[in-house]
Amino acid sequence: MAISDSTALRYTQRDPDVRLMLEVRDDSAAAFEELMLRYQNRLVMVLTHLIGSYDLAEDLAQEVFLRVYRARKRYVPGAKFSTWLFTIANNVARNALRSKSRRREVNLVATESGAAAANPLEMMAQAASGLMPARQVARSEMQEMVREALGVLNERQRMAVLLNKFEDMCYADVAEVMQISPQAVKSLLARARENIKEVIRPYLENGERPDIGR
Amino acid sequence: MNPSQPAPEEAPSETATELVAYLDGELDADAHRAVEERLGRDEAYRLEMQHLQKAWDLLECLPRVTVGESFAATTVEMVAVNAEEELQQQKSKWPARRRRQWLLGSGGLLAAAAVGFAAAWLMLPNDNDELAEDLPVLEHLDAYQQIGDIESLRLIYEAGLFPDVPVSEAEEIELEDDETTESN
Repeated sequence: MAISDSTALRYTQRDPDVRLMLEVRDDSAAAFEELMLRYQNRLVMVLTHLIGSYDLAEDLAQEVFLRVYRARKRYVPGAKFSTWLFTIANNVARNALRSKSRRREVNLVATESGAAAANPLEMMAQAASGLMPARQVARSEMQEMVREALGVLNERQRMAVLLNKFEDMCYADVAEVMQISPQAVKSLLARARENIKEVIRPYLENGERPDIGR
Repeated sequence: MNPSQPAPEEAPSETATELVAYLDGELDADAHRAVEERLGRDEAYRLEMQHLQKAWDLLECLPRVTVGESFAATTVEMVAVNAEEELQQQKSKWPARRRRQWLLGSGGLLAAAAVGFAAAWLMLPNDNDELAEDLPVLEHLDAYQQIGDIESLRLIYEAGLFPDVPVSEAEEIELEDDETTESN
């Protein structure tokens, strides 16, 4: 979709990161580095909780920054910079999840036969099932419970939650990143939050740890 | 599940949709007022809202991520390698592109010259054409000059003294003579 001059001007005036990106378009290495430093932790955090692997999230974040650099000459401000960046991240993550699910199908036998679980969600399930020392489980029990709750969401619900919660994105921005309608985002988030609430209901009502994975 | 074709979502309950949008500040003024009114009188509804809010707040305890120092360095390195590759690709494409531009320029120039030449050929008068047209007269010019006037020429022709002049040419000479007489 073509971006009008007035839209580009509006975002350029409002968003300092858009101005930095325009400097990147003009081949400023310093502006690129500044943008990367501003977004690297946020990006890796969202990707880590989306994918369930910190190492993979780091690789994907680098891929995202590389795509930003490659796209610099075509960049026209049509949204906030963060929206544009996370749209790229969403595409990269979806591709990764697709190939990961293919690999998982292939490696199913190996994983089932006792190979170390690379996915933290799987590790948490192990922890919850009592395979890890009790003191480690106790130390991060709350975090694990929340991660487990996040783990029951599907990929789209999880992405919507992460963007809404940790990037403070409104429904319209989440919709733009995920290339769906704001109404669909409203429905995704309601379903996701309902699911999370159901998973941790024992904790909310009686202070008990939920029994996921046990 | 195939990520490229997500399975249809199970629809959320109407209550959850309403309360989540309320908590996110995404309701319009009328809907917002209606939710607040119901929260004031419906305890179960209020408890549901509190659970949704508490569950949401618990997400705050997810560990924050801080990437290592090597992340930025490695990424910049990757970008630098990519930039170098881009440059090399541009350089390798450059002579071919220049050659194509030169060929296109030369071809255009030649085409323009050909069109100009053809136009000039068609539009400017050609002296040779006039000479070819007057050839029958020129061939006998010495004889005509010796005779002096058209009347004498006609008499000579009628007497059959110009056997090599075709009748058509003689008629043309006659016609031209008549036109000259009329215009005078």
